[in-house]
Amino acid sequence: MMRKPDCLSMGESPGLSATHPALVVEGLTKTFGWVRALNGVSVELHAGQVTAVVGDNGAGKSTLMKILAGAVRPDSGTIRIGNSECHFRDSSDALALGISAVYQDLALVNQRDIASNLFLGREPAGRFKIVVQRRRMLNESARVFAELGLRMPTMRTLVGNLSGGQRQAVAIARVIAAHGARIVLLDEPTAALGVHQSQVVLDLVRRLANSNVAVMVISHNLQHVLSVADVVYVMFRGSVVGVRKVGSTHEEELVGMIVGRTSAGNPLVSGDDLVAPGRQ
Amino acid sequence: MTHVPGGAADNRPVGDASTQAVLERQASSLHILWRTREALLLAVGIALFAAFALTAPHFLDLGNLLSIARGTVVVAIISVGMTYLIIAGELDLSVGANFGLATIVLGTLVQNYNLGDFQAMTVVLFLGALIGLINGLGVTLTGIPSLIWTLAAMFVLQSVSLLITGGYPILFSVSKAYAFIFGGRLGMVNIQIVWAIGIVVGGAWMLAGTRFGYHVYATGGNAEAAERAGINIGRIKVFCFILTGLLSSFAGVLLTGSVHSGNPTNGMGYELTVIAAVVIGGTNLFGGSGSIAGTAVGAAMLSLIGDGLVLDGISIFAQDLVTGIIIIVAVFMDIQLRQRILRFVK
Ligand SMILES: Nc1ncnc2c1ncn2[C@@H]1O[C@H](COP(=O)(O)OP(=O)(O)OP(=O)(O)O)[C@@H](O)[C@H]1O
Ligand SMILES: [Mg+2]
Repeated sequence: MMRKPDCLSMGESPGLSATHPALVVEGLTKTFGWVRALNGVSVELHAGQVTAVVGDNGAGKSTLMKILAGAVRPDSGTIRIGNSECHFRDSSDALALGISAVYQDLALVNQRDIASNLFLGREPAGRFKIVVQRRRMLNESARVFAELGLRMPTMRTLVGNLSGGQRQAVAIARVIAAHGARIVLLDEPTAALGVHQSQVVLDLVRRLANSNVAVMVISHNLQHVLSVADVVYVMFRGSVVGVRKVGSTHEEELVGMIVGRTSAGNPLVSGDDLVAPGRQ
Repeated sequence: MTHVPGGAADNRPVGDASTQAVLERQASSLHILWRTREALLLAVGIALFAAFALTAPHFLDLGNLLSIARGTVVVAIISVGMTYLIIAGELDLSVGANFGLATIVLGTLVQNYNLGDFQAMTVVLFLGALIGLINGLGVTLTGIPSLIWTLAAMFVLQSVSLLITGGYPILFSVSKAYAFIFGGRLGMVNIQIVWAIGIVVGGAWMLAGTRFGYHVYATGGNAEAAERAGINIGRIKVFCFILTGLLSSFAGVLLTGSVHSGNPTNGMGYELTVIAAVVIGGTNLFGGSGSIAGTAVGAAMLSLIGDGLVLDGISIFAQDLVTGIIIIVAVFMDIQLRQRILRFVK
């Protein structure tokens, strides 16, 4: 059933390592009608590292993530995974290559229960991959939440009946349930979470990276970013305007870049653009 | 802020196995409450049944009960496919025309082209599935809403039926074997009832228990989420259309097992009866939730009403009046119950 992703090898594979990037994108552009959401974006994700992406509303962060997850097709630019150049036709291509994503809008089916959502699209099935193993699905779902240390109502609860934070927990737990992901993309994973749950998710992000997964996290919370990330990309109006190692930057510098000033305090753009950064 | 690699931070509540087990048990009772939606519907059906049993002479005769069941057969079978489609977020208004065309094509092939009845049946089933395929591809590839596409398909198929027959019924004869398999009797029970029960049970199993069924729910519940999870929603919808087309033509085949004529008016208006059965059965018209069990009860209820009214000496023309009321009552009940359950969960 599974279609082979469209990847072209670029020579012998060096394998995934901390020194060789797990995923490289170069020159991504994307326009929606008149809106230029991405304007030549290049990003590298490394196995074992947490890469944060920050930027104001509408800067293009989610668009970048959706392209990496195969949910949106770029107008131009290249995506390399390991040593092959890949073209994603849809999400299933990205999934097949071990890219797992948590979307900002969570992408859950409200009318279905927690277990069905956790295993959406990859339900455990018997010998002929036809009959769903319901019991196994329920047990494994409960195990995933226990492992994460997140209290949830029963796995048979409809997702539409959950609180915002619980829904976010379900979306994140999907990444864990899909073990074997080599690249994990999280779009504002702590947006709806309380203090404790946020810490659980940040711990999880770190744990994923420690098990040699390449993690990308989009967040507006710079404290979270500085506590969990290794590298920070700052986006402004569809472009990457700065890349910093976490050890060599601080909150004020990031804020400056996010609102469109360079670290030296010079505006990146003309004054009238600053009125509504990242929009139009 | 520091992070603790290698596990969740300590001194925080952790959902351990025993509390999880308690929660699971609570859930089972909740699950039973969910099931009450169908149970309640069944209760209304039984109330109706009791009312007719008390007022209508000969209502409880075995012969009459079997005739109610037989009256349910066609609508029940087509409703199974329609339930899949509606849960997947689509609709098919061409089922009645597809059903009618099946009887006509079968009659024509047997009568005018001297094809064997079983061969003709094979052609007809293939045609039904093909109509479903065309509907499915049309809807998913053009983006035309299924309501519009299949409305057009209904007109086209009705017209084809009239063109083939010139507006007259086609009379034909079938072999004994054919008449037995699709319209015979096992003791007192018409074999068509056995076919319908088999299709309802098989359809319910496939929807509730297979990956395909899970993906049907996901497609209608949140198409974007399904797609991002790697589900090919276009393919799921096309399969649902094919299933519905195939079952419509099979219902036509069953009819030819007992009535050896193809009539261009066969199946007219069935699309609405079928949708009524599905909606009465608690399936959400906007997709994402529903069940075959509910649909089967809905279909049986519609047949019951028609039969009971006639035996009560009330005009058969009052049937649709009662049907209309039942649709409103059933859907209203459904909404009320859903809200109750929501409050119970919170
Ligand atoms: N499907 C779409 N159709 C039209 N415009 C879109 C679409 N998706 C994104 N955009 C536009 O592209 C720009 C970038 O959007 P994007 O969602 O990537 O921003 P973001 O950085 O994730 O913002 P936020 O922090 O608010 O989530 C915005 O101007 C947005 O309106
Ligand atoms: Mg976003």
